[in-house]
Amino acid sequence: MPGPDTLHKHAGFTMQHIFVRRLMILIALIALIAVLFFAMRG
Amino acid sequence: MPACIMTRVRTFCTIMDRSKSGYRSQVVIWLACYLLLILAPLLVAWIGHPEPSRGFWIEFGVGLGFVGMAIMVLQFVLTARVPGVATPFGTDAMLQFHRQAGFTAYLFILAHALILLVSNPEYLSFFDPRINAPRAMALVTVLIMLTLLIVLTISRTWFRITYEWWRLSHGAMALGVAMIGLGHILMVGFYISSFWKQAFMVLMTGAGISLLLFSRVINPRLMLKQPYRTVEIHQEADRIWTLALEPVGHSGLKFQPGQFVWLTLGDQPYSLQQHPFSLASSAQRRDQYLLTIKALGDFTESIRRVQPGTSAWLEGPYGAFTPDQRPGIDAVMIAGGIGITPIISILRTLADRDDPRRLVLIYGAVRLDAMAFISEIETLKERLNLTFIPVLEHPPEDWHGETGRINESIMDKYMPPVSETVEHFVCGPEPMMDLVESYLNQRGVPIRKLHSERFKIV
Repeated sequence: MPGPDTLHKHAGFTMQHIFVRRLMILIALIALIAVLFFAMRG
Repeated sequence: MPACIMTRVRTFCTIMDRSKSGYRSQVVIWLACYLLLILAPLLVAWIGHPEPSRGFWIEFGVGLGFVGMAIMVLQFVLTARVPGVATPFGTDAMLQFHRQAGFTAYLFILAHALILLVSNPEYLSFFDPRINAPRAMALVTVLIMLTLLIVLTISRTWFRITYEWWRLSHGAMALGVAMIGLGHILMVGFYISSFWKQAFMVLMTGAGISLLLFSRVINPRLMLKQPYRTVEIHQEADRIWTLALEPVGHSGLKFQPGQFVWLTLGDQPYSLQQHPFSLASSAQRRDQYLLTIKALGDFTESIRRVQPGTSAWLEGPYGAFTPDQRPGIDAVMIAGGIGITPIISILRTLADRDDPRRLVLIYGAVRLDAMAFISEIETLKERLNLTFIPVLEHPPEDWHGETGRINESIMDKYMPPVSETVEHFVCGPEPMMDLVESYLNQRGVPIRKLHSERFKIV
């Protein structure tokens, strides 16, 4: 199979890409909540 | 693989345990570890800090900076090819995660700067070279580098930057961002002032940077001890060439069928030209390694001109696009174009092992002369419990098989019922992947039974 010199972006549907994006959104939201608690202390 | 070009397809789920609960528990453990690490600097800043709060928005901005920095540092872990890190998801999913995490880190760090500047304009002095020129230059540089990291990754082809130079600049700028970020945290010193807190930040950042150095410097050095020699280059089909390599002075790498390696050609392994390719040979053979490559880009176009005797270096194996972890489980394989390469490795290996499992292979190509390995697969049917369905988009007149592109009706016709004992391996051009994944999803195939991973690096 060719290497990345031949690769480029494609915005197609993929189950795993949607899964990964949702996972990252979840992580970012949890991190934001933690930062909120950090900011609200005291 | 075509898709307007090529993607690389590997596994999505775990190499270790693909049972439903096993998969879920691994995802949860991985997620928990990642969360703990990105929140670690925030927790370290929080613990034992007696100073009163400076107001919500300033503390919120500072907190975003700590998390953004931690996500940046963990980017090195995601891309260092550390064994086990990508295991629960597969290498492609990990690269996709790396991409999403990069965007998130950028947003957090940008928000960190903007919120602090808006909530207290006195922070503008950080960017004033008359007050502190090195600090101002460093902060401007880090914001420019962060922006370039994102822009060049999204639009590399638009800027006409080669993959090799993008890779070099990407690593260098990420290194710069991490170093300046660490320096910024230590010099501000409001939260990270005690020795143990400073030591923690230095160790965390240092560990990330060490992994980058490991993958770029130590790994190639280790490869020096295991050289390979090109013994043959032959044409497999239209624009498809097979490179045969043999280990020189060592026993060769052990791999599972369907896995891939990073290939470097030349006298030494330190090269910007390092590319991932599937191993097409049987995993039962350690005397010769076959890489079947379609000429689609600068590097791949040059493969047919490689001379026998040329030194080669293999890093790996990587990936979990393999049936080896679930012996005895039936497999449905759907391949398009050059996406057949990991599949042919699986077929050759299972044949060498006299594996009795039921296999279905739907293999599509544009023309017969572009369909690599078709004769060999027909021969392998005698040694395997294999149902082979070739599909040609432009068939010759005497073609009796399926025609057109792989579509729902062809898959309906030949796919076995959805079952816990059937795994699905999908490898091919982007449009085919999209269609097949969508079809399998609608058919009720759980994601843990679908092995399809795409390498869309940039």
